[in-house]
Amino acid sequence: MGNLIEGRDNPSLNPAQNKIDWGRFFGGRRALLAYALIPTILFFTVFWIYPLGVGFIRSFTDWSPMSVRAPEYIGLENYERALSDRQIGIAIGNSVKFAIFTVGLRLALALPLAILLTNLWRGRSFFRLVYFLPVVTSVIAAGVIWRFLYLPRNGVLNTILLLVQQVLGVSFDLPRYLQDPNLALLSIGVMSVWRWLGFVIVLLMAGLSSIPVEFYEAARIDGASRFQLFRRITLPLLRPTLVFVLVTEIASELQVFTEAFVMVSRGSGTSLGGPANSTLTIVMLFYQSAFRNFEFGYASTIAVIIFVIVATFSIVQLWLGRRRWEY
Amino acid sequence: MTTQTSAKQRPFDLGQFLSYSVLIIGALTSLLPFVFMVLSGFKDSSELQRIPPTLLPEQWTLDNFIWAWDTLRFPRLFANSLIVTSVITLSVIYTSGLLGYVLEKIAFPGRRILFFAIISTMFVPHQIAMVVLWDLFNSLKLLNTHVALVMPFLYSGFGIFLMKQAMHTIPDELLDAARIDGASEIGIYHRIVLPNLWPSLAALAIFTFMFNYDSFFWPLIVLQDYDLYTVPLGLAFFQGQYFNDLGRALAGTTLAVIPTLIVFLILQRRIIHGFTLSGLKG
Repeated sequence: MGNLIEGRDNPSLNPAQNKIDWGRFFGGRRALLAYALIPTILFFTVFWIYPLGVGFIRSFTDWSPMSVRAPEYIGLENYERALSDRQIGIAIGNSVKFAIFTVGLRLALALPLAILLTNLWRGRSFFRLVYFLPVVTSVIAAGVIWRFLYLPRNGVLNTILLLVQQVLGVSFDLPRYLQDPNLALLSIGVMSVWRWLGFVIVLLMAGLSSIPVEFYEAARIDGASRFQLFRRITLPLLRPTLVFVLVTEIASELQVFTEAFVMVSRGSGTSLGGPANSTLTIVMLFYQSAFRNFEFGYASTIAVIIFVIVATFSIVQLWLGRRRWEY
Repeated sequence: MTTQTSAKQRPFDLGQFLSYSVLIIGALTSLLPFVFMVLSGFKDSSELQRIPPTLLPEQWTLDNFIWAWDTLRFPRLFANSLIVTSVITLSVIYTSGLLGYVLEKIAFPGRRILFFAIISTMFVPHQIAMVVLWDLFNSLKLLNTHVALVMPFLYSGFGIFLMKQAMHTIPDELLDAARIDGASEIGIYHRIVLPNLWPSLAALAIFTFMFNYDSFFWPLIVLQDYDLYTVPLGLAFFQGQYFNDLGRALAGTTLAVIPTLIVFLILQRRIIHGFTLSGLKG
C-alpha cells in the first residue's frame, strides 16, 4: 500500500493531477457521471420531486381522477374542511395515541431484555433468533394470528383469563378486544409491540455492544452499584441509539395503516376504522378519501397534514434528545 | 465474548437464573402465537368453535390447508411476489452501490443537493407522492400491472445512503491503482467497487427483499386482478373473504408464513445483520 499512497501524493505518478487527460476525462469520469446520474435524476424527479410538488399544489384544488375536467383552485377550502372534520381530529388522536403507546411499551420491554441478553452467559443468539421471528412474519399473517388470539368467546387470551378467574375465584366481564371501542386500538397496538419487539432489541443490543467494557470495569472498581452503572454509563452512552430508535419508530407508527386495516376491516367495500371510529388512523383516512372516495385534492390535504405531524414529532424529539454529554 | 468460559465451571448465579426466566417467558410469548396458528389450521370448524378451545387437534385434518392452497392459488401468489421483489432488489443493490460510489468518491457540482433529495425519501412521508403517482400510472394505462408495482421502488434512498457509508471502507488508493492500470471509471464500479462492497450489498439485498416482500399499501391501491396479487395482498383478500372462517384463514396464513420462516432460519445471521444496519443510519 505504501507506494500507492505515495503515488497519490506525488503528481508525477498520478496522471489525473499531472496533465489534463482529455481522453480519460470524456471516456472515464464523465461517462460514469452520465451513466450514474442521468437515470437517477430522472427517477427522483419523476417519482419523488414531481409528485411531492404536484401533490402539495393540488391540495389546494378540487382534484378528482374520476372527473374529466382539470382540477380547479379552491384556495384553503380543503384545509378548512379538514380543520372542521370531526373524523380527522379522531384519526389524528388515534394515530398519536397508537404511536406513543406502541413505541413507549416496546422500548420499555426492549431495553431490559436487550441488557439481559447482552449480559447473558450463553444462548444469546438463540434468544435473539426467537425474538426476531415475528419481525420477519408478514404483517397480514400477524394480524390474522392475533385476531384469532383475541376471539372473545374461545380465543387463547380469554381462555387464559377464564382460567385465572376460576383459580382466583373472581368474576369479571371478559374483554371483547377488537369489538370494544375502548380496547380495539390498544389491542392492535399490543400486536404491533409483539411484532417489532425483536427489531428494537437487536438495535439496542448493537448500541449496547458499542459501549466499551472498560467503562464498566473502571466504575466497578470505584464501587459503583448496578443501578449507578445503568444510570451513569449505559443510559448516557446509549442515548444516540435511543434517540434514533424513538424518532424512526414514532415516525413509522404515526403512519400505521396495515395492522388496523387487516385486524378490524373485512377487506374492500366495508367501512374502515371501526368499531365507532376507534381504530381510524390518519393514514386510513387518507386511504379512504383517496382510494375509496377518489377525492384526490382533499386526500392530498390530509397527506400534507400527515407530513406536518410526522415532521413536528421528529423535530421535537431531536431537539429534546440533542447530545448533552455529562462529562 | 472474550471472557466467556464454559458454563459448567460456573457456580449458581441468581442474576443469571432470573435473566433466563424472564427471557424464556419472553421467548414463549413470541413463539406461542405461531404454535397456535399452525395447530389450529389442522382442526375442523366444529372443533374451532369449542369452549374451552383444544390445544392439540383431536382430529387432525388437512382440509383447511388443501382448501386454502387451492383457493388462494399459492403458486401464483408466490411467483408474483418473487418476480416483483427480485426485480426491485436487484435494481436497488445495483443502483445503491453505483450512487454510493459516485456520491462518496467522485466530486461533481450539485452533489450535496442530489444527496439531500435522495435521503429526503427516508424522512418525508410518502402519501403526498402516492396520489400523484397513482394518477400518473392511471393516465399511462399502467395501473393494475407489475410495472406500476415495481417502478417507484427501483431506487432506494435508504440503500444509497447505506452504500455511501459503506464506501468509507474502500480506500481511494484501491480505486487509484485501478485507474493507473487503465480501468475505465464504469469498469472500476463493476470490477473493484461491487466485489469489495459485497458484504454490505448482501445485507442491503436481504433487507430490501424482506421489506418489499411484505409491502402492502402500494400493491393494494395499484392492483385489481387477483392473478397479479402478491402474497400479502392475496392473504389480506382471503382473510377479508373468510373473516369468520378462522380455520381456513389460519391455514392460509401458515402456508404463507412457512417459506419466510425457512428462509429466515437459513439466513438468520445475515438477516438480523441487515436489519441492524438499517437501524444504524445515525
